[in-house]
Amino acid sequence: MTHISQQNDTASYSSAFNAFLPDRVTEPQWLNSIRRDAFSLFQTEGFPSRNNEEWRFTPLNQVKETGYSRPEPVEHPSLEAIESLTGYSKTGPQLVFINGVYAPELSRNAIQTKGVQIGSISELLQSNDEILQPHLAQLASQTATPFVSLHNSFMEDGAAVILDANTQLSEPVTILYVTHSEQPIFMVPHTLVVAGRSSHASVVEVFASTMGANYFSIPVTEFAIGENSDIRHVRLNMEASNAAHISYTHAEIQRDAIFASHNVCLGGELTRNDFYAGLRGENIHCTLNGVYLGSGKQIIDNHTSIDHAMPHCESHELYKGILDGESQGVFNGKIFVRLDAQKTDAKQTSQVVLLSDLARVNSKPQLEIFADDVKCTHGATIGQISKEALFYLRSRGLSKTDAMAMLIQAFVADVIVRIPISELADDLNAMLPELLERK
Amino acid sequence: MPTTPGAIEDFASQEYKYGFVSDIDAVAIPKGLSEDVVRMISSIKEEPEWLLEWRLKAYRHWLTMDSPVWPNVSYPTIDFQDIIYYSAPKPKIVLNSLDEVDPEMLIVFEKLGISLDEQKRLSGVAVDAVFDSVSVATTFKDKLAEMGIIFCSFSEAVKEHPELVKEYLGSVVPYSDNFFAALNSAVFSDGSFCYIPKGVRCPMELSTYFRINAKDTGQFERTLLIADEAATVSYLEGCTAPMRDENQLHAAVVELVAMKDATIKYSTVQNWYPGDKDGKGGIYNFVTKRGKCDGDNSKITWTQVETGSAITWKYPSCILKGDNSVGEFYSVALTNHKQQADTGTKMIHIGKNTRSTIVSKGISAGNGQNTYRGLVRINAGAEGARNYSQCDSLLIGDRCGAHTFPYIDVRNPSAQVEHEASTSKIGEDQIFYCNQRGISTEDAVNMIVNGFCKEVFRELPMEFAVEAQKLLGVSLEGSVG
Amino acid sequence: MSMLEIKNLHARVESKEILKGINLTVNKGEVHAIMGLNGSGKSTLANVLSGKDDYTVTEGEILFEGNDLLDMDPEERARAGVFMAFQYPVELPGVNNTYFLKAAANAIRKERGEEQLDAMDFMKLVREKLKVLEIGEDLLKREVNVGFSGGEKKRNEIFQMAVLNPSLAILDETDSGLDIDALRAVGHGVTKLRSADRAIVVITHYQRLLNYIEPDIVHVMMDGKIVRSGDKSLALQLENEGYAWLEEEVRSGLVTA
Repeated sequence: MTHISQQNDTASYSSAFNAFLPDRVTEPQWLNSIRRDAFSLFQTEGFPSRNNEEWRFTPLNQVKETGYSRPEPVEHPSLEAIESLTGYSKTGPQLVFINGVYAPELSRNAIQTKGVQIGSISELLQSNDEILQPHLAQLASQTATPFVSLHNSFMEDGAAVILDANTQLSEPVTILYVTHSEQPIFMVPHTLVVAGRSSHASVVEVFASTMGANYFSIPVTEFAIGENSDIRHVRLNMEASNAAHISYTHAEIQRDAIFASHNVCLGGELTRNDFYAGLRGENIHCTLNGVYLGSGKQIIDNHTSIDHAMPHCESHELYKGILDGESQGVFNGKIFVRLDAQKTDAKQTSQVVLLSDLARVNSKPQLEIFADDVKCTHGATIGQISKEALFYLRSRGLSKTDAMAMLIQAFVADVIVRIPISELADDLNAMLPELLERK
Repeated sequence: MPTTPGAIEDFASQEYKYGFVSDIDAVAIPKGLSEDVVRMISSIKEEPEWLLEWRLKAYRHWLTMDSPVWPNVSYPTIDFQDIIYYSAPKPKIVLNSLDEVDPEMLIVFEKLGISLDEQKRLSGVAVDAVFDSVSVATTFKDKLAEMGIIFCSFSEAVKEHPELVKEYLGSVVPYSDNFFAALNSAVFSDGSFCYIPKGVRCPMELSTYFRINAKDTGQFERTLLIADEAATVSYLEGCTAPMRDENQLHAAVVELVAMKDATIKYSTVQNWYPGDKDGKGGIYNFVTKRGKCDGDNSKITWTQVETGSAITWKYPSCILKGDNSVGEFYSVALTNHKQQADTGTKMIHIGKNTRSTIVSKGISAGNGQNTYRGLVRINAGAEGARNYSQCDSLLIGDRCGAHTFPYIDVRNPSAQVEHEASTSKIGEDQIFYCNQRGISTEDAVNMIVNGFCKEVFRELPMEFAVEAQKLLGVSLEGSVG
Repeated sequence: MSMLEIKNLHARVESKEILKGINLTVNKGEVHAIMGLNGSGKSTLANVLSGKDDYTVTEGEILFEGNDLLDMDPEERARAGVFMAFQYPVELPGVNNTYFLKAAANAIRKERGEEQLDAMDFMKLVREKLKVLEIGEDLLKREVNVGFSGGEKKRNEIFQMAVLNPSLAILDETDSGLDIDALRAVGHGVTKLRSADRAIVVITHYQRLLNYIEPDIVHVMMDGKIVRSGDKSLALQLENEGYAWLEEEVRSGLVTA
């Protein structure tokens, strides 16, 4: 394995890429050419600079200056160790990836439902690459961010959930991306969800680590959501406190479909999430909610983009953040309403509570509306925990700390309870005090 | 197939119902503005020297200023030398009762449905009617005087209570504030003055009806309202104007001062001539309204329903100086045909734990352009300040526009500032939805417009809320084909 | 006499002919499903029946209980007993749901020469219907469709239908874009409103709803005409096999359209 030298430009990834390519000679030609194109694009573009408006508040020093290497094979931790990372009970299918590589012995994906395939991308590429070919590494535009092209350059594994028309999965599919390394490695886990007409599934992605090393996770998640389907997604970031996590999630949505995604950010030194939802047909209901808890020197940067291209669609966005210590939060929410997208109903809300004088937030709603018969609302609040509420609780005998915890929990729970996977929402809600305690 | 085509279009093309010119002789000084004209106004009004000096300072300052330009408002350049700066109805006599009022004038009020008689009898409202520029009828004065409340014309206040006028005139809106405030300070003709003494709760709604009548007369009202410690007052102001071909300029100044624990509620229904369908004629309404919450725990509420004028430029504002003081702004602004409105508010938070609420409802029809422009500023010392702003726009038809410019300037980290904005369209589909449930188009339009405005209407004093609904209702009447 | 009789109906939007000769008879007590691809004319048919603007009928007639439906204003149709559950129920901000529904119910009662319901009687009626449809009372306090989820809007339509008690109900794509739970609720709601005195026309793009509302007859629309009618197995066949086979049959003249 090549070690990427400590240079702050893309050239350092070139040697890693050149060493990686020979491993991929047996992969399908279509994927190999996507890979090569992606890397050449990444080389041309390089890392985004601070002058780039989209990256103004995302310091990339850690990412540029750490010498991250591709992961070496490791001995896998036990299933118990992995289950304990997330702390909540999971039934239903589960795919586990260690350092970005599929771990079949830790996974359970024997699915009885006809017309549903749940498996690793690495295996599917060998056995049945045609079902991946129309979508894999092609939904999220490589021009979207340089990290998507970096991801596609090195992408080799991840989870695939493929649903035929009219299939329904009653239990959520859990995908665990676990980092198990003391070395500063970089990983590019990929999730692909393809939902046929009138299908239904819930997909939960969890990012966690067994150790506290500085590593770099560059996940990309792609959704191809067919008409009248109902797809629910939760993204749970519990990365190690030294880690960098730069993700991209892309959803292409067809008419009459429902897509609800909840983004819960707890871990990582640097987190940057980009969400894109393309509403390609009429009568789509799209929800992008998020909650983020920052402490210490954490940076949590969420960018969302909802593209209303067709009439009669609704989108809802609620982002809530709690920032303590010297942490920094960013919420940048774009809503495009194109000329044809009449009768659009878009609602965006960003709420942030600052717990310390040094915590900072940059909140930027961005509505670009080209249709004339639409309803678009946005609201942004930045504030502190209400002193009156705090006083009220203390006057009823609660300690200041307990009263504060209760109010913070209530603030966060507002997003958690909206997760349309009731068992997960319940579990996360019950875990909230502990999660907040950890911060 | 029988349908109700263009019901909304019909509503949008409804013409002004209060258009007429009443025929009363007016006394006027020649057109144009100069130091001499300022001196002449002051001398006709028999003003003290200090006030003349103040006017002249304002005039000299005005000369150094340029007429403002706004990005979303367009109108031809105003020739300030082509305006008559003072006119008063003839005969110029002091009237003691309504019987002495020119009968023609009473007919005008009758047409407007706001006869003084009826007002007095039915609602117990003290009415200070300003017809053109001089107060001609003041009622209920004695009753109020018993409680120590001063409610009179501005000219009278200058004569009777010069110490109060001198102390507060320009204390909230300095003559140098803006172009039109400077102009008003130089040439203001008359207006209302109100002082509520300490601890007094004014027992009735105070109201004034303004009306522009004489041709080519710019109207420059000056209103000064002071609520002393723990005083409470609700003031109503309503306007309609007759049809005109030339544009008329109106540049009023309203100053409110609320001392410690005082509460002022200032409500306006404005329905001046908006110009015809093609935008010809109509009033230019460039008003400076500002209130100062000077003392702790004071509160000022501005509520306005703006349906008239060719151009409205108006930002009733609150300076929240006292700790725990509260500023509120509730507004419905309707623009139709070629009307333009650029309105909103400024909430300046200076004191600790100051709170402000802004609810703005813009309705645009025809080619109307409606802009909300607001500033919320939280100064560094305004610990714990809070603001909530909500700006909603309703579009009727597809040739009108709504624009929202919320400026937020926060200099204290403990502040909580919330802003919500929405734009929606009263569509044929909403009407059709109601029709398909058996509800007629007229009822449907009424239902939707009143529903949109209800958060503001409920802030108006009862009789005004009815008038405001009536005003919107009148515009809708007969709009169903 | 049939509840609804559509004879050789032709209609256009602007200059484009959308309906090219629809024939359909619906008797009271019957449930008809109309299926078809996008652009086949399903929604146009619903809009013409409810009296929406922008559609010009160029030929044919529609009789409702023997009367000329096309000669009636939308509110007259509603008052006569035609109810449309909309594909996109419209939001009426600031307009209270109960107030709205009471205005509608009384407008309809007035037309029928029935007594106006006072607030008490109306609330009694409304509560009864909520109970039947298993909908919470908080719906009454809300503004018409404002802030409703997709599922709530469709349930509100069914609730209105229950209160207004129409003799003919047209459900335009009431099932599109619903999650499983909302679909079940809407399906069961409509089933409860089936009665011997009422006819229901269900227009749908997907077969799923018909698992809950079993239709007596299924019609397939293609290019502005009904090209095939059958029982509910026809709907299943279309869902599983798509429309291509039927298009092929139509093209080759196996079906007289």
